[in-house]
Order: sequence, then C-alpha cells, then structure tokens
Amino acid sequence: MPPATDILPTTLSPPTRSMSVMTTLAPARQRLGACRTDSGGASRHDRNLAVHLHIIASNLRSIQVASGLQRPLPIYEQLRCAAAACARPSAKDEHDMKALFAWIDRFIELFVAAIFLSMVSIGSWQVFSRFVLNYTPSWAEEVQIFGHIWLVFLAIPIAYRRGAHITVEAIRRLMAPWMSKALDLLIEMLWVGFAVATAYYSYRVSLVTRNSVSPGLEIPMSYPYYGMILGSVYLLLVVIRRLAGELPARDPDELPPEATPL
Amino acid sequence: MITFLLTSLLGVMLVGIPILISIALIGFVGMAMLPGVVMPLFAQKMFGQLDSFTLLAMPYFILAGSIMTAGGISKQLVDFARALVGHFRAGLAHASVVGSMVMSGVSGSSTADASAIASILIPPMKQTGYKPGFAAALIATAGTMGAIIPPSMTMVVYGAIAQVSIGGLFLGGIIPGILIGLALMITIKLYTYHPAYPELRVVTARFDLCALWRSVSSAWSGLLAPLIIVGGILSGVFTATEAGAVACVYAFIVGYFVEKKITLKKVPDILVDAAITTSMVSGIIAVSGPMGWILSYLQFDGMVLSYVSTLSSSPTMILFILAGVMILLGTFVDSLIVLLVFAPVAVSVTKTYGLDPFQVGLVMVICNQIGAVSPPTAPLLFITTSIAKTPIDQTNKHVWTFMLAETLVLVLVILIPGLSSWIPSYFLR
Repeated sequence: MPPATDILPTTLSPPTRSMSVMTTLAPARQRLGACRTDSGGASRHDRNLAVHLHIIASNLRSIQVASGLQRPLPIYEQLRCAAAACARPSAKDEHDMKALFAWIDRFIELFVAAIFLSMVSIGSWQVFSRFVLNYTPSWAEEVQIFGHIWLVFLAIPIAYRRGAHITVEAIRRLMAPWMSKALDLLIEMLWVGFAVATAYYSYRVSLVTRNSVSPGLEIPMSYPYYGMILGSVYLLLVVIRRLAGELPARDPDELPPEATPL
Repeated sequence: MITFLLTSLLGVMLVGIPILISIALIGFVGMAMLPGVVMPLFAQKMFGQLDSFTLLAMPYFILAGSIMTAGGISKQLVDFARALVGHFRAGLAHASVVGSMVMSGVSGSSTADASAIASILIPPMKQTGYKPGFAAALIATAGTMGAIIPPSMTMVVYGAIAQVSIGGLFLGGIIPGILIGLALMITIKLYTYHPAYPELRVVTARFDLCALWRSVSSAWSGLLAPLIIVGGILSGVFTATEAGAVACVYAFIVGYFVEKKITLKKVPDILVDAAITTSMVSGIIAVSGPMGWILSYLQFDGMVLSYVSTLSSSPTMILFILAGVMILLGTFVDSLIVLLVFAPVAVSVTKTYGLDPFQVGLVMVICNQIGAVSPPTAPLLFITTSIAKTPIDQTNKHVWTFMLAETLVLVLVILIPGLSSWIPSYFLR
C-alpha cells in the first residue's frame, strides 16, 4: 500500500469533530472491506467515502493524542490506506465514463428511432386523414421534413461509430501500414473539422432564422438547425472518443461499404 | 475552378477518404475560395438540400425494405420465382432474374436486391454446377432492376434534385425495368446454346401448379406491395412520399400481425439500422448542397451543355452522349455522386431540347445502374462476388454479356421515348 500522506493532514483536527467518530465509523467499516482490495479500484462515488475516511482518521489521531497513547490505534493505518485508495482515480472511473458514453450512444439511437417512427406515423396519418377525415393537416409535411433533417444529422455520428460511411478502399489496400495510419488520422481530423464547421455555421444561421416563422408549423425556422447543431456536437464527441482510443480503431478486416446503398 | 474542384474531389475520394467528408470538404474549400461568399451559407445549403418533401420517400422506402427483409420476404419471393420459372432450362438463372424483378417491387435499392438474391440463390446455383462468376455477374445485373422497377431510391434522389415528379419516374420505370428482365432472360436462353455451359442445359425441377400456389400464398404480401405502391400512385391516392410511409405501415402490419416474424423488441433496431442507411445516403445528399451550389453558381451545367451542343444538335444524339459520359464516369465513381453532379445537367438538357423529363430521368437512372455493374469499380459485382466466393476477374469475364443486354434496353429507351413516358403521361396528366 502506498503512503497516503498527501491526502492526510499532518496537523491535528479540532477535537470537536471526535464526537462524530462513533456515528460515522459503522458504515465506513462496512465499506472498508471493498476499499482495502486496492486493485479492484474505487468508483466515483467512493470519493465521498475517501473524504469521510479522511476525517475519521484524523479524528482517531486526535483521540490518540488526547488520550496519551504511544502507538496509533490499529484501525488508523487501515483507514489511511483506504482513504488513499478511494481517492485515487482508477479503472472503475474509466468504466463509469464508458458506461456514461454507452448510455449517451443508446439514448441517441433510441431518439433517432423515435424520430423515424413519428415521421412514418405522421406520413401515413396524412393519407388516412385526407381520405377518411377529409382534412389535410398543414403541419404534417413540415414535421416530416424537419424530422428528416434531425434524423440524418443525428444518424451520421451513429454510422461513423459503426464505421458505415462509404469509402473507396481500392488505393488504401495498396498503402503501407504507416500511410494507412496517417490517412486514418487525417480522416479523423477532417471529421472534426466537418463537425465544428457544421455546428458553428448552423448556429450562425439559426441566429438569423429564429426570427422567421415556418409556414406550416409556425415554429421558428431555427428548429431544424438545432438538429444539425446537436448532431454535430455528438459527432464531435464520438470522433474525440475515437481519437482518445476510447472507441476501438477501425478494424482493417471490416471494410466500410464501397458504394451508396441505392 | 470547376476543373480544380472536380478533379480534387475525385482525388480525395479515391485516396480513401469517406465520400461524405470528401464532398463536404470540396464544398467548403470551394465556398472559401469564391470571393464574397458568407460562410454560413455552407450550413444553409446543407439544410436546403434536405428541405424537400419528395426526398422523404427515400427514408420511407429504406425503412419499408428493411421491415420486409426482417420479415423474411426475400426468401418467399425467391421461392415464388423458382416455382414459376424453375422448370425452364437454366431454371435457377431464370429464377434469379424473376426473383430480382419481384424483389424490385418491394425494395428500392439495387444493392439490397443483389445481396438478398445472391445470398439465397448462389449456393444452389453453385451446387447445380453453375460457374460462380456467371452466377455473380447475372445476379448483379439483375439487381439493377431494383433501381429501375418502382419503387426506386435512385429515382427519388434524381427526382428531388431535378424537380421531376417521382411518381412519374416510378411509373416510367415499369416498362424499361421489365424489358431489362426480359433481355436478361433472353441472354440466359442464348447461353444455354453455348457449348462451354453444359450446366445451363440441365432441367432441375418440374413444373408443379400446387407448389406455385403454395409459394404464392406464402409470398402474397411481397407480391401485393408493388401493386399497392404503384396502384396508389397511378390512381392518385397518394404521392410517392406518402406511398413510402404507407409501405412502411403495410410492411409492419404484415410482419407483425400476419406473418408474426417481427417482434416489438426488434422495432428500435430496425429503425436505427434504416436510419443509418438513410444517413449514409441523405448525408451525402446534404453535404452535396454546398458543392452543388458552387457548380451551379459557376454554371457547370451550361458549360457541359454548350460543349455537348457543339458535338451534335439532335436531341437523341445528345442523350446518347450524356448516357455515354455517365456510364463512363459511373465505372470509376460512386453512382450517387455521378447522379448528384449530373442531375442539373440533365435538367438543362431536358429544357433546352424539349425532351420528356421522365425519359431523361430513366436514361439517367439506367446509365447509373450500368455504371454500378461495370468493372473496375462495380459495387454490385463486389457484393455478389463476395457471396459467390470467387475471384473478381471471373465475374468481370461474364458481366459484359449481361451489360450488353442492359445497354440494348437503354438504347431502346433513348430511341423510343414512349417506353418511359407513355404510362406517366397517360395517368398523371
């Protein structure tokens, strides 16, 4: 176990805190077992525990000094190490990040599915309503068009994540590995540029168009651009994750499709 | 400047940069190079390209296709085709053409057609002793009907960009599509007399009316779909876009309530997969907005037109030249890009020479599809060849005859405007 002097104060805590020792010790002790196995790592949540343990440890030390004991209480060392282990960022934190990203990915996918579902429902409702109810909703076409724009720009990052964007691979197959790697880096940079340019210029356009009202829905014309901004921001997140190595790099055996699925 | 932009686009694409990024990059660079362009136009043109109700037909038909495929429709349709023509000489080859034809009425994509038919029919074809290259080349060429027989994604893209009625294009595709099927079947028939193809003279099945009836009763939903789509457009009940939405609902009702092959749990994944395919196509269409704007700002279509008009003044000849250029480009470049660049040119040709817009559209679409099966870069051949597990040169060796058959149909479509314009002009005006 590494020394944990960096997080423990060498000065004594005020004795008033010692009153809380008994009440906080019991739950901390239960968790101590989990914390002591250092390699397992501590989660984000355990940082709170680290602070608690730290306070308890310093209180124990003040008890020891106040009661005139020569040796520190045996639990003191344990607490100190546990606090250090809990405070250290570890594999579990990364795991939490991954879980968060996975949650975002799934959320966006379900969001896209929901957009698609509502587009189709409205599109067929339009036909039904015109022939059965004899009423053509004026907003129906516009909802579908705006939905399509949101759908496309949110699904571009999903397709990127799954390596589905169409690429001509004929020349790349002849490249030396280092050239291929350099090209990959260049491509990721271009994706970053695309995401930034789309987000920024969409934002600029949305500033202008938010004052005009769409003819069918009578909503500001900036709403479709918000989809482009959101999609580009998500794209940026995904590309950065790939650059940081959080997403697996392109699998050389699994080539993207060579032609548009027309 | 146009030359610079188009050659650098070609270069960037061929090096191996994703096509979507290549086009966006060229559009961006072009806009930055033009003096006096406000850059937010980059985003505005992407929006403008997707701001079209007709283009919506594409995601809908993509979704309808994937719902039907999830319901196992392609297998049933192939069984129907085998029961119908499987007793001919080279029955499996004929079945692959008929299967592609009926599949085309369900899906609007030639790649989807080719991969579905190939994965079902190539194994039995190889078992019967067909040359794998022959099977792959045939099914790839038959797959092109997917984009010619309605519904068709290619027509949606062309119609949305060229401002041509998509319903009209769909209807115009019926006769040429069937003609291509017939031309391919005649080619197969001629192959059966070829001494090097003894396996094609074997009759593998007998005609069985009961089996045909059984296959119809299991494939009825897929056979009915094109009738609903085309019938609805013909009678004016719905537009092509609405037909797509209705097709999705139809496919879901059949798959969920009747065939019970789709569970609600699968629905989000079907939707997401269809959305990814949509983003691959619509994404490229969107980012082609800035580039397309530059090309029209620099009057690219006028330049091509004035150059072509020095070569000939007869509209038919102009169409031939246009078709030749498109096929030539299509052999090297992705068919969608050729379509996006050339659709505006086709529009000005139509206007200048007073051609029928549906005829020009059909010529564009057929050229596009011939480009997609012509080596060296032929996506359809890659798909079927990888399923047939054979060297690509084996497929390339066989594809020429089938391409020739399809090109003959193209010549007919150019020479006889009525083939593509009669049905739409009769029903839509």
